[in-house]
Amino acid sequence: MRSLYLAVTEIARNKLRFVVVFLIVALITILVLFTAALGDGLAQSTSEYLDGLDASLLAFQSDVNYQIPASRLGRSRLNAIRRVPGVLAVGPIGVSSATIIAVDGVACKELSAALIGVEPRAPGSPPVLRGDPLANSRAADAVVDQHIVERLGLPIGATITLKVVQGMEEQHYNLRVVGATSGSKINFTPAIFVPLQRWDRIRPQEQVGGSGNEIIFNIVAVQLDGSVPSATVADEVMVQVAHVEMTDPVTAYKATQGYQDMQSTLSLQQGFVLVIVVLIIGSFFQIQTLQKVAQIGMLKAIGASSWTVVGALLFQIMLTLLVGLSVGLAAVWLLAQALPTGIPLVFSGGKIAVAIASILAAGPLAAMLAVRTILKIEPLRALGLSA
Amino acid sequence: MSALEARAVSKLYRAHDVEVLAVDALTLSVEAGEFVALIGPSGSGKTTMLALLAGLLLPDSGEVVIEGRSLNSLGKAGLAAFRLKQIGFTFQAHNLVPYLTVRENVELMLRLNGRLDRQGRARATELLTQLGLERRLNNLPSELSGGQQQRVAIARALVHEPSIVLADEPTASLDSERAHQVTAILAQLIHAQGRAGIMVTHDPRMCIYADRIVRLEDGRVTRVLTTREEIALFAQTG
Repeated sequence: MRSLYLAVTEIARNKLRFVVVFLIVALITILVLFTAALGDGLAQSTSEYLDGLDASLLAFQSDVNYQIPASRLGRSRLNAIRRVPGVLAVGPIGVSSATIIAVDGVACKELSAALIGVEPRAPGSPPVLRGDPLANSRAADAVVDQHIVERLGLPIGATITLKVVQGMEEQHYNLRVVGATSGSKINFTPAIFVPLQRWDRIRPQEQVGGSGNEIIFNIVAVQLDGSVPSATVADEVMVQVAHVEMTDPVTAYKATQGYQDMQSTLSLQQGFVLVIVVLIIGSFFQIQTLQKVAQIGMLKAIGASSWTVVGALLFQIMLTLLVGLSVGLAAVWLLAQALPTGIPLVFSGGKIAVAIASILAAGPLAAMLAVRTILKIEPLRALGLSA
Repeated sequence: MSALEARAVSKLYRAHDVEVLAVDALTLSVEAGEFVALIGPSGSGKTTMLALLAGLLLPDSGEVVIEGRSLNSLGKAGLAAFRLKQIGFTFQAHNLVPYLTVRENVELMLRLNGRLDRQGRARATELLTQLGLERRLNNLPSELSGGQQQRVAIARALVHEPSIVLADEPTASLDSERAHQVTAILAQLIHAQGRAGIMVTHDPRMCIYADRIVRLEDGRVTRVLTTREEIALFAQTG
């Protein structure tokens, strides 16, 4: 309590000096939390669709390192996978890109989208928030991601025009929006879902109007019936179906080009910021300790223990971090409310807790140098002597 | 039994290859209610002696006994705890905690001792009133004159009722009038409260308030003045 008293009184009587440090900690908190949120947001933008898939396993063409654009699968393999024991349902997924150029015939600001071909009601087909799901009987229907609905102000029933390059020509295709879904971004772009056959006609390809042969899609979403362990099913598929590699959706999106690089860059950035916290807090309190050498010597001479003085320092560091963190968290909350939608920021409780714990853990680290200085100050200094 | 006894204490400083015998087999005892002035030229060993008496330094030989207890037997933490309870200290400078008010600086001693109760607070206020600081209770040290700061330090040195009061050059930074004022108050309170007080000073005029003057040279006692006449004469002529 003596330490807490000294710590709090010094802060209260030197508000301006400490407010500056509180603000620095608050700014660092904002930076750490935004970096964490950006990491999650970017990860989500990369993986949202795969992460939310109603499938336990994904089948890829072998030797493509789980890269969706490089994978090529056809109906024969899909059917072979369906026959493996433990498989409940399979759904083909084709992924390409397109650009929305008009709504109801009126040109709009061009918006890039992922064009995803799925089999209606099969794994991979999106659940709808509003409107109707896809149906094979309505080939020109589309279910679009909520981001697209919000960005373009699309009503259900609107017709969107897509621009796609096929061969050397720019082709335009009209789709009727019958439903809206959420959480379906893939590689940072929101998705437009269409039945697979329609997708095969629209997707960019060498000739206009589709391959004409067997539809080639990219991956197969596999639902299991639970009778056989997932790993066993995956192994069995790879034994029974040639040139197919199985994995789970998490491994698949983590293998997405650049995903690991992006996440490790952001983690490195967070690490650097935490090092900066240690250095700033450590320097501030070390300088303050050096300025108080005579005072600390006097306190020790009158009988205050070293641990009373060290305790005061630790309380000050933790109070500084707690106040700075609180201000930073409040600022992050306000900023998060004010930011426009579309910015890839996801504030998850777990990441926020880790960031807070890391910043608080930086306190004792930052204190080490100042603690060492305090322990070395001799009470003899109060008499102008040295040991 | 004396409140404080130094029994043939010696302290040798070693720096590089040079050895300096700062205190040389010095013996001194101070009774409760007695105020002793330690004087001498620079380098005579006054401050080192004060550090030995406070347990800030341990002697190379001999021992310091306070209230029947030898400081040699106490470890670093034990010495700090002993100082906290048994010794009141005033220093030449940096006496006060700059972010605590006058009242808080005095009460700090009680707080550190775990004795900050209603009685302790009342005693702190009473002491500060006796020292003429009743209107300065809520001022910070930076708002006080040097003399006022020394008076706060005196209050802090006495508030926890120590058996020994040690003052290191308490008037060094004060003008003559304030130096007399501070020393007179210190002596008066030491007498009134029955503490054993030792003041290190280089100013002979301040010795007028002492009951005994001990002059040191080269770490040894060279002269002791005990009668009022000797003390008064020394205070006048130095």
